[in-house]
Amino acid sequence: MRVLKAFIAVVALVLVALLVAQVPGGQSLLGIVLPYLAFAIFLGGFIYKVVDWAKSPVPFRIPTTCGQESSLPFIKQNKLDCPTTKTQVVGRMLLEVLLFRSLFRNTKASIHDGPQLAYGSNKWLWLFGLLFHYSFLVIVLRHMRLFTDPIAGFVAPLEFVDGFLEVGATTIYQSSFILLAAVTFLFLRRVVRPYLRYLSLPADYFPLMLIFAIGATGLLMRHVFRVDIVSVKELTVGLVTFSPAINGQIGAIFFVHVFLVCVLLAYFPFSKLMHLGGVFMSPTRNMANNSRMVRHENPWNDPNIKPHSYEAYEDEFREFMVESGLPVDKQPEPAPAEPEAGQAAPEEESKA
Amino acid sequence: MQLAQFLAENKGEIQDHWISRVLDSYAEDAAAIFKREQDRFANPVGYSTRQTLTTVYSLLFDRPDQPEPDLQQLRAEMETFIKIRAVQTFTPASAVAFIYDLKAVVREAAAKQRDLAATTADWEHFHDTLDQLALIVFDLYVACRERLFQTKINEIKSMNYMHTQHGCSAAGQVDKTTQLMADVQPLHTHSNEAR
Amino acid sequence: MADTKAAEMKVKVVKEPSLMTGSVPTRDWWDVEAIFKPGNYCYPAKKSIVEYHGKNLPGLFGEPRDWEVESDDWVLPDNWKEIIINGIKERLDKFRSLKIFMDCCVRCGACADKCHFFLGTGDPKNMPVMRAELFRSVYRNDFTTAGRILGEIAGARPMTFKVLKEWFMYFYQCTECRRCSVFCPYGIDTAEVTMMGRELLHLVGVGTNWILEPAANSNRTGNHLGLQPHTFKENAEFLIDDIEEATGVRLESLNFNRKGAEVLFIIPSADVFADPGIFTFMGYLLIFEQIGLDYTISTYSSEGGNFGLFTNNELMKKLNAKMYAEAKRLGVKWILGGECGHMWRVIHQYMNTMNGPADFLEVPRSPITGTVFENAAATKMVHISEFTADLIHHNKLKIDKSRNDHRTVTFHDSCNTARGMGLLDEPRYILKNVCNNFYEMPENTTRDKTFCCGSGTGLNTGEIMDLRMRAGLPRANAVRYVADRHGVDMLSCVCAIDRATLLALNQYWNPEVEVCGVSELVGNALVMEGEKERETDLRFTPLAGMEG
Repeated sequence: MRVLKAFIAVVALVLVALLVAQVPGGQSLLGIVLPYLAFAIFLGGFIYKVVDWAKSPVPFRIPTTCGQESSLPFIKQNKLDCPTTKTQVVGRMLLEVLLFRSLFRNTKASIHDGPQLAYGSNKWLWLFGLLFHYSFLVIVLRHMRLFTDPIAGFVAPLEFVDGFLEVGATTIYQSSFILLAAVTFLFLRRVVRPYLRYLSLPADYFPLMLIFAIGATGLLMRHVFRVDIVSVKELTVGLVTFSPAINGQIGAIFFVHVFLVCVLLAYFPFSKLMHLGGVFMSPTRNMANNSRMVRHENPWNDPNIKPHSYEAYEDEFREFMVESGLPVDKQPEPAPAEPEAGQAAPEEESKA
Repeated sequence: MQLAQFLAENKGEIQDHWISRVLDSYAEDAAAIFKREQDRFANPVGYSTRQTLTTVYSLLFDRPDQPEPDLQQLRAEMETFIKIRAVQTFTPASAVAFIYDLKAVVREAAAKQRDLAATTADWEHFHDTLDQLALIVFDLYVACRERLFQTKINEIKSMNYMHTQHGCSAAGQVDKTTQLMADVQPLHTHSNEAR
Repeated sequence: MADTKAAEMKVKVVKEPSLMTGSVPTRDWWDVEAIFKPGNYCYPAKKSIVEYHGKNLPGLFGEPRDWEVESDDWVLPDNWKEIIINGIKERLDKFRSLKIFMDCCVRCGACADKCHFFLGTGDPKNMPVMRAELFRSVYRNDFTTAGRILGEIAGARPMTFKVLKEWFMYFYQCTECRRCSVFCPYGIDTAEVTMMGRELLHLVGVGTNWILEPAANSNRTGNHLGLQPHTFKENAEFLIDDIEEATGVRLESLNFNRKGAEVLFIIPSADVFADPGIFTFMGYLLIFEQIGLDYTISTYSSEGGNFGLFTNNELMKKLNAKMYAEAKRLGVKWILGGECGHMWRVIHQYMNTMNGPADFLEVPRSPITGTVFENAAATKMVHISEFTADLIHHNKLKIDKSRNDHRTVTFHDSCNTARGMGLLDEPRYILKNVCNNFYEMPENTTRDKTFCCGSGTGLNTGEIMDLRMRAGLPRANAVRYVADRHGVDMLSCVCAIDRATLLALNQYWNPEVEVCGVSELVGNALVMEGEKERETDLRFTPLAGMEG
């Protein structure tokens, strides 16, 4: 049901794009207005979100330590999983952001003949997660061919590495297929594994399907319904130089592709895709485990919260303390003893 | 075909049915929250179910000329399984019920076996064996629950060790529950005895 | 027929959903209600206790009242929803962690089978991602654009009594052990979410007695059980007799509230009154006596543990503040801390921020070895395992390892010291130096991937014993493994809650395995000046070769 909702949404988007592309002025809307709008929403939304996060302080130093702390010279610190310096934190973050270190740790509870319950290593999610993100990155970078004139220097080598075989006149880029395969894996995983299906929301299926649709329309455009690449480039460069114009017949499939990308961009800041920004700001990962070495400041630390004072404590228990030989700050009055100080109601102190 | 031979020859199939029926018990729940799924998510519970039922069946019906089962061994094999069930909000009756599942599974399988020539005596023996098994399970279940409650008592005692066990003069400061526990349970002088 | 009966019985079988049996839910999770019944919830806090906390920290613990968890009327204030929503807003502004953790989760499911509560109970809402979704769904509804517009499609739902019940159930089936956080690609820490959830529950007066009463005792008398100063002192002194009986040495150095001592020693109070913590305590005292440490123990700050951590940050701060206050009053140079898990989470990650700077103390320096503990330069508090490991490394302790030969030992990393501090190899270094038979539990169940005892964060109460046994099953399983394979019969740890709860866990799952603190084993092996020939260990179990 939740899958269906997401599926209907993506199909509807494709249909809308096809329809609008046929209406007079529709192509300008899809090719010029919406890209600007979507990019503005993306940029504005992304910055807004990150600024909003940054506005909340990090009151406590709470790294999750995944290795040995730095303590005694003869005990080896795990510098990447339990960093104490900024450099080490950068190292940990690089591993996390570039290589998905935590997912690499993934284990799966399983049963082996023997028999025994074991927690074996499970790297599929890590592998396909990594493939997905890197092929996405390569594709985005390859598209820079369309937005730069002359074409940026890194594009050609990238294309050379990425394109592994040629069919006719067209180079096939492996990243496109890896992306689709990885998205498919990530989707099937959610549908097939019972506990993942249980916890997945439409908001989890939707981006996967949307990205699949973007990839699929891109491939179709490249290999099946060829579009006029010269007009496309005129448009895209025009967009970048703020002089966009649509010349000639580009083909509807292009507008579907662009529309879906616009939806993705506009959807981005309001969704879980913001993990792109969040991964850098997660306090359990980006902080050094040096809280006993350097004091961490909490801007809203309330100085009015005081401990139950020693004086109040001693006042309550003084007789008992003296009797049992515990030192006291104030000697008890020699006058007739108070009745049962220990049974008296505890003395309260107020926050204020 | 004799019943014993039938039980030995159809071991795999009967075991599988039995296991899935016991696991199904989670799904036949009145609330019908769950239904079964093929790819079982591996876990202590599923593991223990499969392992225990397979072993128990083998001990009982592995060969046509199977000797009388060793009850002590059966008990040992089932202990962990029952231990898990004993802390899983099963009713006491349902902890035993899985044994009766086997009766049903065997009866269904036997109905399909045309050349089966099982005598009344054979069937009686079969049912008696399983009834005996059910009694063992019941014993085990109760023993587990007793151990659980004993653990609770031990915990209260050891948490307040100095008061309940050491004859400490401050025993008067301990709250009422602790005192009650200490009164009910004869005091042990050392923790090892308490265990 | 017997079968009909069996079928009827099975209908009553399990009310708890279970993915662990291979069963799959047929209903969406938000349609399944939390049902409380005896054994699956902790008792609510007594009215008088809530009153006490309310006086000290106004507004944080709700209206004191009597209420029943199983009832449909929790006697909540009329505006309870408003209190919760405002509470969420306040916390979003105060904690970046909460904002990030609310926004970033992609529900990849990497955390799902990492939680001991999920592995043991099979309840899908015990998957860390689901536990957080219980909170997130409300957050989306009131604080995100998508949630406001799309509602249920965006996974949003309004705060209702049903949700509140879920919160109470599942934020009290989380021990804040942080195991899920290790595996999360964004480091999302369910402990943070649970902490926030519990803070919010307290705002509307929903809390458990097992947490709030020890916290109240701790505030007033200095320790969880409410031992008054003289009783605390007498308890500790009783143990001197036991030590003498076991070792032939009469310790002279134990003292209390002494001004001018070099070191203030703070322990979880269970070490002076609970079995087997008392044996750990004997271990500490033997070490200090032997090396001639100038230390004192405070009766005012006699609790290292901090149940405030399980309620809200304000109470945590208030209880913790005693440590520095007492160190200042007594004029000590630095503080040494005993074996306790959550106590060290507070000391390591919160204390200096909350109650520092501790500029009246000196950077800790071991008077015996001269080692300066640079890693505690600001907080000025050292863990006993760091301290002892340093002593052993410098050959300052005379050790007879064979005195632990009657034991085969394994080590349980407590969640808080492992994942909130990184104290992993110090206790192991000690263990390898004081006992000959030491075996690790299987990989992925120790160190940063250690499994919780199942009863942390104030869940170590008797009324939920069944639940605790289920939650502790993954840990018990790993212990079972080394018990079968290597004959392990002693589970050592550096945590007072572990010492209590693993004891119960083992009595049920692995009755032959006992539980001890690391310092107890040091105490067994430590050769004291003037000692008699040892025939038993500190708990009067005969040593190897002395069984006759």
